[in-house]
Amino acid sequence: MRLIIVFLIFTVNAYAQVDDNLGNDELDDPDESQYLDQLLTALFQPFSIETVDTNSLLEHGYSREAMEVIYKWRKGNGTLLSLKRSIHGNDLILLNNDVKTGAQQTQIHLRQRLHYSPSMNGWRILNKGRILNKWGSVNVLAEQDPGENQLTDHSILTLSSHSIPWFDHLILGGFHVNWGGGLILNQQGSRPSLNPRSLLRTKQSTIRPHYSSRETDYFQGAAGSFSLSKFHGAFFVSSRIMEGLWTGNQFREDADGIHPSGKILESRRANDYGLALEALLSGTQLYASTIYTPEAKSGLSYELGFSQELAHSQKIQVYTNSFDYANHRMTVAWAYFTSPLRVSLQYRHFITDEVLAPGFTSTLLGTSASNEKGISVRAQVRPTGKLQIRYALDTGNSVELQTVDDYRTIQQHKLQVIQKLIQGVFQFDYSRKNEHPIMVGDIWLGQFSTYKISRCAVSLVHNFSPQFTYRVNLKSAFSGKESALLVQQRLLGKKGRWKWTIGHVRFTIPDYTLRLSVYETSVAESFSFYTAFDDGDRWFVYLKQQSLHWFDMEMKLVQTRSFDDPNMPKQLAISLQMSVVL
Amino acid sequence: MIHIKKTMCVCAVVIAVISHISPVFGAFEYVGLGWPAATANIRVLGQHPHHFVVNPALMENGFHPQISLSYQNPFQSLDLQAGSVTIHHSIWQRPYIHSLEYFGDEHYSELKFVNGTTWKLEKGFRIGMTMNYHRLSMSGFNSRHAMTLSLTSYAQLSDQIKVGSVVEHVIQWGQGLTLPQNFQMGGQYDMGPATIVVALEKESALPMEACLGMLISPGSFWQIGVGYRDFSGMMSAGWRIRTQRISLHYACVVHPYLPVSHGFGLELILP
Repeated sequence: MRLIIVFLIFTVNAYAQVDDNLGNDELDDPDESQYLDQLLTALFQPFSIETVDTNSLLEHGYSREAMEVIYKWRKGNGTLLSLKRSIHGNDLILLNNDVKTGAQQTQIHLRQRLHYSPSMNGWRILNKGRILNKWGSVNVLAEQDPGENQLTDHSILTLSSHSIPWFDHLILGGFHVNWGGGLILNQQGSRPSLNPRSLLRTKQSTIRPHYSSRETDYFQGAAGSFSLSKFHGAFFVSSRIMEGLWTGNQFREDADGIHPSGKILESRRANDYGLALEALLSGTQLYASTIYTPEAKSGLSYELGFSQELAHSQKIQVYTNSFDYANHRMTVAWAYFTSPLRVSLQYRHFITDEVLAPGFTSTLLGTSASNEKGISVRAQVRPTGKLQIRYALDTGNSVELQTVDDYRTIQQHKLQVIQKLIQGVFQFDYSRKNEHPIMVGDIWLGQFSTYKISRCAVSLVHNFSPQFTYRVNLKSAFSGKESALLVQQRLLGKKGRWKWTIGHVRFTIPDYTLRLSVYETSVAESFSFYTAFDDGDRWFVYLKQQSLHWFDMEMKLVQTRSFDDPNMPKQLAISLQMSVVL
Repeated sequence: MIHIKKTMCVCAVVIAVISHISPVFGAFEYVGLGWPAATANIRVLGQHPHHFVVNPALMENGFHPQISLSYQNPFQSLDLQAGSVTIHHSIWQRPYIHSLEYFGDEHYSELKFVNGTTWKLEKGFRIGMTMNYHRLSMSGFNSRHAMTLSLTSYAQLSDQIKVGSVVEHVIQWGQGLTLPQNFQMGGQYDMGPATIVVALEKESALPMEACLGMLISPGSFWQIGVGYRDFSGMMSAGWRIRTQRISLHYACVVHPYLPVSHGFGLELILP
């Protein structure tokens, strides 16, 4: 099968669709873990419109115009109704939802989703529900992938509360832990984006319920967070059965989570115990965490962090998991943040006795490299209120030449310009990635020959009216004499209780290494994109109808066609979702 | 020939039980009991006590207690018998349903006891729950038991459009008997005397099955139902005669590879 349809389904609380977001890195492979991280933050971390800071407002999806209105409203003595009258469009939808959540009324969210795609060769059934009030929440999710025996092949039951005495947050069931610099713990949202803030760690010891169909990178048991004076801490006790395969001494969890009858996987029980503490002392933040995994070779691991606010809007952060110079992971970051200019710089130095596991740390050389060092730079300027320019540099080099994968060096530059127009937005993205062997003699079997790839994307959004929007994405990739081209056009509209999107993408991709991805509208609480790597086209139609104020139906139809193989039939995919929000 | 067929079917059941495959699935693709069998056996939506057994969220408050009896001769000529007693009533404004179903012959039998109720969460939206007890008996083997919990929902979007869903046996107790989990989601459209019901059903690892049913009620006295299931290729038809206190129905199910099934039912509305 030459075409791949990738639908990764995660949970969101009916927030804006992925393809509505501007400022995405349009040239990299879509980052679903970052997306999931934002969604879990939006769902499970308390959000108060009266006290929340600028970052949280932005992460939550508010526009800068709305943020200014909210700040003015806070300074005055206006009512909530006056704030609602001053905010419009998507910001008002967000505000209404946040105010409802803040009121801590009992809410019930139920979603049932059916999804079929040829690449899965069957149906995926997702049932999920959430009941929440001021005492806490109960989250239930059950998923069956094609070929699996049970509707509950992947199932979650999680109890979560912010109202238990002595605890800020207590979770029983499945949960995620987002600690420190991510040096000893597999965690989501660690991949840096073009945003300068992404090089700094803002979540030192966060715990959140697991509420997605993702079947890896979560814990099961009990987790809690607490505060004592200037100290904040979190702990967890986890025991989970993982399914996957052993590769040598390493157990790799089954990444796609599909366990059809006949697929032979091994089970392994993973026990983990963790404790994190942080202290905030007049601009200085100290952080320490430890994780004990009885089955692991190293057993006990620890991470130490130091974060300091400096004069003139500067900040530094240091994380390390060892004081052994020959075996450690360490990151050092510096940032300068003002309104017109934001700059951040990170240096990382990873040298370990074992291959870096996926998700542990951000690496350019890949998870097969045993060690890596490199710098990351992010810069953002706002010369005017309507223009934003971002630049990113990432480098990756080996510290020691141990395995074949270490004999490489990589540099990657990215540039992004976003200009707000009178009735739309213009976005330009450019990236250049250079990969080459350290020395000519390091070329083994030609796999590390010099490799340069440039990518370029232009996006234009035009709002013909508040109800009707047109968006075109033009993407290209160049490497040597080969080039790839992708054009995506979308019409987005809404009228009354209906919301719709029609999209078409035409692509000519000569090689997988020149693949290009585009985001697509999909049903609420899902993350949807398409990665093209051959010659073909693709249509999709998305329809949403809010039948009643508490009920909506969504449908997405997709047809993908390959021109490389005229005998291959057109592939039709469908998603249906029924949502009840009370 | 009949004896050979019967022996083969019983063997299939024995193999299924031994290998812990769902006995219901192993048992001849059992087409269900009662009036819903006429409309492709879609039970996620409808207004008959036999629908309520699967989806109690369909039940509304304010009705008279009702007893339904049904008999079915599944796969005619295989000596199998099937029957059910269903009681539908309400206590303190909450509707309840109780049902006892039997299916089998002298060598093999399935007994199912279902208790269900519903909660109204919003005007036009209800959720339901059933507790199910299953017993499977086979001559020469010990009986096996299982308790399961099923969850259901029903939403009335307008006077014409209704949707419902069922997740059967989502939680199970008892290791001796494994029942296949079943997911059903359907929509119903009423247009005058005709009602069209479309449902998607997926049982265990079987492919998704699309079911189409149509019910025609020209008057208050009688109804006609027809249906088709695409995966198994089963077609069904039936009629129902209603008076104020008594209803009678007949349903016939035609399977492409198995003998025809016939079913009869009697419903009594108590004063």
